[in-house]
Amino acid sequence: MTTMTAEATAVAVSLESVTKDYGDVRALDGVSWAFPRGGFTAVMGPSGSGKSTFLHCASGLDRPSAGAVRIGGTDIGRLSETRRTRLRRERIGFVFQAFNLIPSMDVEQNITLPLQLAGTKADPGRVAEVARRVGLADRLRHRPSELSGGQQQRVALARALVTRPEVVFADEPTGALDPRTARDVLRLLREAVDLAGQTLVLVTHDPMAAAWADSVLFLSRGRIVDEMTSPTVQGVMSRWESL
Amino acid sequence: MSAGGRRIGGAFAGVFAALLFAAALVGSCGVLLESALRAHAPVERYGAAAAVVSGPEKVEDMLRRPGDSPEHQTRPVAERPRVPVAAAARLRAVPGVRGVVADVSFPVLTSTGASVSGHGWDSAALRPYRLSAGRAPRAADEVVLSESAGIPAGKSVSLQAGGTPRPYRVTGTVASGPGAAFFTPAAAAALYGRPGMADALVVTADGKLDEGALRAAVPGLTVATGAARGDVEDRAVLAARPDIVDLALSIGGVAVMTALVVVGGLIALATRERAREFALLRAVGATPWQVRGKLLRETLWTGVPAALVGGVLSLGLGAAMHSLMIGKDALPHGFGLSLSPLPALAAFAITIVAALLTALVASLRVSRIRPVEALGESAAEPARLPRWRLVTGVVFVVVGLNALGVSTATSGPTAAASVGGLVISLIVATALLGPLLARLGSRRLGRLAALASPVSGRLGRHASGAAALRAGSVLTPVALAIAFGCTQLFAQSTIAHATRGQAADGNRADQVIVSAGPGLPAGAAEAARRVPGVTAATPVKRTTVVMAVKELGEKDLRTLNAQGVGASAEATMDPKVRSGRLADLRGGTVALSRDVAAGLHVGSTARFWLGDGTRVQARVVAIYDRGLGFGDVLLPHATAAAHSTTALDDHVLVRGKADLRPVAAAYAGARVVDRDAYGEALSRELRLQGLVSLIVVAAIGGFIVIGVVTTLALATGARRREFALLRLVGATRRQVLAALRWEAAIVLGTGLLTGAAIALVTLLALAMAVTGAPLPAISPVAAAAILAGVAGPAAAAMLLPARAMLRRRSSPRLP
Repeated sequence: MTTMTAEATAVAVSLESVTKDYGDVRALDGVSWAFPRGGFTAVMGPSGSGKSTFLHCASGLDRPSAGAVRIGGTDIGRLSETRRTRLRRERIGFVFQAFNLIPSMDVEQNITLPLQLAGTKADPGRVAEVARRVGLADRLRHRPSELSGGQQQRVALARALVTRPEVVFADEPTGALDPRTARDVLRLLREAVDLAGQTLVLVTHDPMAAAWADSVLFLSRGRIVDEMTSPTVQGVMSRWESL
Repeated sequence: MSAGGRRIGGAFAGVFAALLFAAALVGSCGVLLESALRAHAPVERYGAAAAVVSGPEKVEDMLRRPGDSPEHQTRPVAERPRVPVAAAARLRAVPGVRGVVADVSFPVLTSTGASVSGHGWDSAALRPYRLSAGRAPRAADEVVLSESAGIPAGKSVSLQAGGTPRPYRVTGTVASGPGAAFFTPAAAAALYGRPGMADALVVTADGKLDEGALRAAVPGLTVATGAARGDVEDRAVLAARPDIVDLALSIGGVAVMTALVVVGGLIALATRERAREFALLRAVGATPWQVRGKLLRETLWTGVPAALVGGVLSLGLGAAMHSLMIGKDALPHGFGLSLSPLPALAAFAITIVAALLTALVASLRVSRIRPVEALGESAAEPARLPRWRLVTGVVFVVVGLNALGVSTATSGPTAAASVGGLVISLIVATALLGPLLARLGSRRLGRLAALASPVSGRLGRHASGAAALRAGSVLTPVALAIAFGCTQLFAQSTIAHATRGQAADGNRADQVIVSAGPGLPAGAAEAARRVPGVTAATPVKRTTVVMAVKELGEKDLRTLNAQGVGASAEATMDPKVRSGRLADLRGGTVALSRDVAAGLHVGSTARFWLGDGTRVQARVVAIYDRGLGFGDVLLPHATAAAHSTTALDDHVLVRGKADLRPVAAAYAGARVVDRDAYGEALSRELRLQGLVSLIVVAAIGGFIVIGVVTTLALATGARRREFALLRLVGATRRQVLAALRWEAAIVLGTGLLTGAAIALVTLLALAMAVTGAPLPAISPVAAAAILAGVAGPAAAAMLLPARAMLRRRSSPRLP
């Protein structure tokens, strides 16, 4: 029991022999991993390595074909779609590569969308704080179409942070951004880990982005093939080339 | 991303239009229904009466139901039943009754050809009619006429009442009211020809009358007060009522079904276009029911104003339909219009429920949108139909085929009823299996397109197959429009054609004496028979009979067309007797068509009600085939005449080429026509019946075409990105448009073929049932018009938005 409790506090998300099949294709092949609480982990791999599937399963967006995924100790494979959605809403934030925002809503409405869906009142102080943190305090009334790509991605980040989730999953959040804007977004992600103590899982194929993480996982053909702690751009690139 | 907003707006504009039209149609059917339920013929002659006592208004029966309690059914009595004059004494004994008049009515023709209604002078006080000149009749050869007949007091006039014309002296005139001729009460009773009987016992009173006491005084008779008094004067409204109720319910039902298909398609499309938005909502924490709730709320936002506006408009549309039907004699004159907010409210409620239902079905799909799809570049369409949809669709095909089996194995009303079930179940199956049909069509027709045009044909084929769900939403309303229009129009024409054919084939008369007025007196047939060269003259009296007829295994009371036929019918008509002899038709006997005979044969006893509601048992003497041409029941002439409103004949069939003009000349309004002219008159009558189905086809067909056009315009408008992408990768504007034309040809072609197949199967079954041969009467011109009327606007709705999107001079770019 003591080990369970210790694990539950130290580990934010754990995967135990997770396998995911799409028809005949095995996208994940018996993957086990534990993401430490308050850690920033990057997941890398070439196209088709299963890294998107890894993210979907680890975040509870998708159900694994076999194995267990625990978020804060709860096995999400046993939950109904609605219970799973509630759990995601309360504990997990998402940032995607593209089509992140609802076009018909302004910035503030987009940020508070998860709160609205949960039926809780948005605390104006919290919204203002999150908006200030991502540098959008003066853009709250703008529509997504009036913002640049980097600004849109920062809105998505604010939305992911507004519920104070335990874990934030980011899927290629810098994929469509220029290097400078990408750096701004990555700095904000890093701050969420360092200042707010949040757990961050970043899926990317960009060594520059991966170098911001505490550790990097390398995926190939649905398996974790390597882990690199304290990564550097050079180190990640050379490991990447050998995959 | 403003395109997203426009797209959603477009879908909801389409849904708005479809729901508005649905509410307007349903509401206007409601207006017809309410009018039918409340309609009474206007009170004309009984204006001063406190109550009118007449024979039964309807016949009733308890019909056994297998494994169920018996069902109570009624049918209106179409001919005026008689009441015994003796009952008047009991009415006079009721406190408050001032007087009781035994009212009689009989048709009277003046020598000028005007037709008026004949009564005793004591009936004049019931309206009241007041003398505008002269005095009341005192002798048997004296009469008071309406001024409208044009004969002043003091003149002599020849009047034909009952028999041959006789001279009368006009002693006075009345100014207002429907045209009438008043005789002395004794003379009127004699002309009426039914001693001791009357049409109604009309009660006048001084103050308030105890209705309950009146009813208790005359058990078994109907006591009418207020507006219901009109139905005793003129039974046409009463008789038409159940048919109009059926008509209104069936049009309303089709309108609701159409709305479900059209709105269902539009919402399915709109949901598909917004799959990514919904997936994103799901990813950031919306539960499936939250997304469904959003869709339902949005549908309500569109549906409530649409249903409100449509409901209000429906009152006007209903009034317009009513006046059109009155104008074209599809409704009896005097069938009043009842306008209340009720139909509008009902239309509102039905439309909202239908909209929410379709939105709910479409939103169930949302639960299958996995939040993961938000992450992908494009929301791919699910490859397979959900299992429930496949299973339900197949069930409906089986139900349809079963109905087809029933209709080909039986005949008459059973077959006709199962044909209706056939077309409905096949259309529902099409709606459910639409995507499968789309894929099939894309494979078969697409191969042709790819052969005909290697580049754009192949592109079109690919597009039609890749988005089977979208194509399914489009082809279902197209198939519905074709199937509905063709079956509705051509079922009518098939039956009319068969009726005409049976009447013509079975007509063995050389000449026919017809009447322009209320009919021919009994003497006409006798006079014709005495003309040298005439071998047979048969008086024919049309009436109706109520009989329990088996339909799809259950007996239902139905009003059947009947003819009372006089002497030597076997020489002048050939209803294609398959067993028994028409010559035996006299006394308590009857001949039945095979469509209604069901289990009865020559020698068995048929139980039914005559036109005036008299219940009889008659021995079956013949079973015949031509039920459409001659009516389902043939009665002895005397029986039909004795139980009808008037004893006058509708026509006299004459065998022999003698000159009958002197005979016709003896009777006002009578005319001799040859058999061809007689057939044409019958055709005109049948065309008039076709008018109602034409109105129905126009209303529902127009609705479906609006649905098809909005669905297609929406589907094409949402493909801006796809077209731009094609242009970017090097397709010319011309190639993109050509590909879209091929796609339109494939998708619309599949819809047209499906609809035509449903219509053809249904019509073949119907033709088999009514004529015994699989030869429906299909007018090529009308069929082409229906096809063009659906395919033309549909193709335009697909191609025009695309042309506008692919502007000639602009360079391609992704929106």
